[in-house]
Amino acid sequence: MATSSASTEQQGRRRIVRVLLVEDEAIHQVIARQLLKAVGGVELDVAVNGAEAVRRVQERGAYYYDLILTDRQMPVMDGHEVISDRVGPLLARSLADSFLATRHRRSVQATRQIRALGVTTPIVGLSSDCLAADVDAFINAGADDFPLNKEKLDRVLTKLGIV
Amino acid sequence: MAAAALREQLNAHIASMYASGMVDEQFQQLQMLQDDGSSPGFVAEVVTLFCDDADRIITELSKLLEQPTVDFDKVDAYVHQLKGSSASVGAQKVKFTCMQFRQLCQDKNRDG
Repeated sequence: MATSSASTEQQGRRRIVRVLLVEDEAIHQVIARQLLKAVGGVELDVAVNGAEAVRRVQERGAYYYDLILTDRQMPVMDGHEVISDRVGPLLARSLADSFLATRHRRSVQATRQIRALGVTTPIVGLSSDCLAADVDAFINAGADDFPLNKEKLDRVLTKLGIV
Repeated sequence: MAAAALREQLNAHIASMYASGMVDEQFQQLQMLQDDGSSPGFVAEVVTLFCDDADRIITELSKLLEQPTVDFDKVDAYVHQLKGSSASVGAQKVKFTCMQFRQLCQDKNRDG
């Protein structure tokens, strides 16, 4: 199992999970915040576009974030560009210890690109907007779970040993 | 007593929204998130954001559809956005309508 970059709390306390949310729409930011708050033990950073997300990862380091939730379509660099273009190698290293969750159906493409980089970390979709065929396509591309709700997020984080 | 009656009325209204297919399980997920945490106004905040978003998008769609030549790509982009936010709040009927709308955009069917 991949090593998490989450900081280690004092003995007996749960580790803090560092999450970068890449989302430009307020409604999705609010929902994601509440979802992560319900999980508990999360430090949340928010980037409103892919370019800002790249800067944050570069500033914080490849292994800082345990989880990156990204929208597929954003102004100034889409989520899939964040994964596969100039920051691909950086993000791939980060992804070795964290996992990328993409919101939209076209995250199937992003998932394949991540797998092609040799990243074996589980990939989880965060979306309530999906059809059964899209779920199958996403999982067939290499994702582990889709869509995501509080129970599934908790289960996946536990499975990864992040919490 | 008044609060209890209001609560009962609200629950009945929400139940009818589920029964009519206006909302789906995702709305229930939002309610559960509110009940779990310390944010009593969470659902109201999300619904308000959705309504404001929807209002803005519908205004933009109206302008685009009034043009002599409709830019279906732009229309589709807005509908896609509305579909995403409606799905996130559990507004099932809106979501399904958006799905149909997107098909019409792909068919370049303005009359539809």
